Amino acid sequence: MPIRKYDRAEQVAEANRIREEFERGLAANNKTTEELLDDLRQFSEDCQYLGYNWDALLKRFPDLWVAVYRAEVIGTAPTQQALIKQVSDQGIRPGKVAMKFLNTNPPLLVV
Amino acid sequence: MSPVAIQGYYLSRSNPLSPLYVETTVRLTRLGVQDTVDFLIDTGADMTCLHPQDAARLGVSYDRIQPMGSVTSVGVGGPLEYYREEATLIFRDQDDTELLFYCHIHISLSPAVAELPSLLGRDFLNRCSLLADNPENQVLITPANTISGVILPA
Repeated sequence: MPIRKYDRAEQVAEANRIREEFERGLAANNKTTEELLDDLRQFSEDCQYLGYNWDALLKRFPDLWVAVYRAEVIGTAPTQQALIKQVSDQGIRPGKVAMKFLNTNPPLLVV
Repeated sequence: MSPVAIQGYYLSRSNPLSPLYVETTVRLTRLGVQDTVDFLIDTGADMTCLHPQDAARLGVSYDRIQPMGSVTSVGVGGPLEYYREEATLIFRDQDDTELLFYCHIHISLSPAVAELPSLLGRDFLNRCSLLADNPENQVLITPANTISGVILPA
C-alpha cells in the first residue's frame, strides 16, 4: 500500500481537529491544562520514585503490588484488584497512582 | 529554537536489562476516560497497546470496549484479541507544555498479557527520534513534526 503524504494544509487541519478535541475533553473533565500537566508531572515523579527505589521496595514488599502516590507508598496488596480497592478507599483515583508488581522472579520480557 | 523533547526513564539503575518507560495521560474519547499511564517504549510493537494492569487502573472493562469490535495481533505468545479505541495521548515536554498524539489504541484485557506493561509502539515512535543512553541514564523522545503542539507524521 503506498504511503500517502499529507500536505501542510491537511496537517494544520488535522492538528486543529486534535487540539479542539483536546480542549473539549478538558472542559468535560473540568480541568485546566496546568492541572492536567501537574497530575502528569506527579505521576512521572511517582513512577520514577518506584524505579529508583526498586531494589529497596522489592526487599520490603516481595511479590506484592505496591502503590506510590506523591512519593509515598500508600498501599500494598497481593493482587492489583485489592490494591485498587485500597487506593479508592483512601479517596484517591487509581488512575492517578503509580502501581507495579514487585516480582522477585520476573519473567523474561520479550515484547 | 531547540526541538521539543519528551523525557522518559530507565525503570531500574541496578538492572542492566532495565526497560525504558515514559508517562502520558491517555484520553479514551468514547469512554470518557482520562488518566495517567506508564508506557514501556517498545520499538518492536506495531501499535500502542493498553494492557490489563493499566486498563484496570483506568476502569476499562470488557462490557465497555467490546461493541467497537476487535483485531487479532500476533505476538511472541501467539495470537491475541485487541479492541481498538480512539485515543489521545498527552505528553509533557521538557518545557512543561503538552504534546498531543491522536491514535487508535489497542486494548487487551486478556490474562495472557496481564503481566505486560502497556506498550508505546511504532505508530508513535516512528514520528520521533529516540535517544536511549543507558550509561548516561537518559531517555529522550523528540517528535520530528509538531503543529500547535500536535505530533504529526513527518
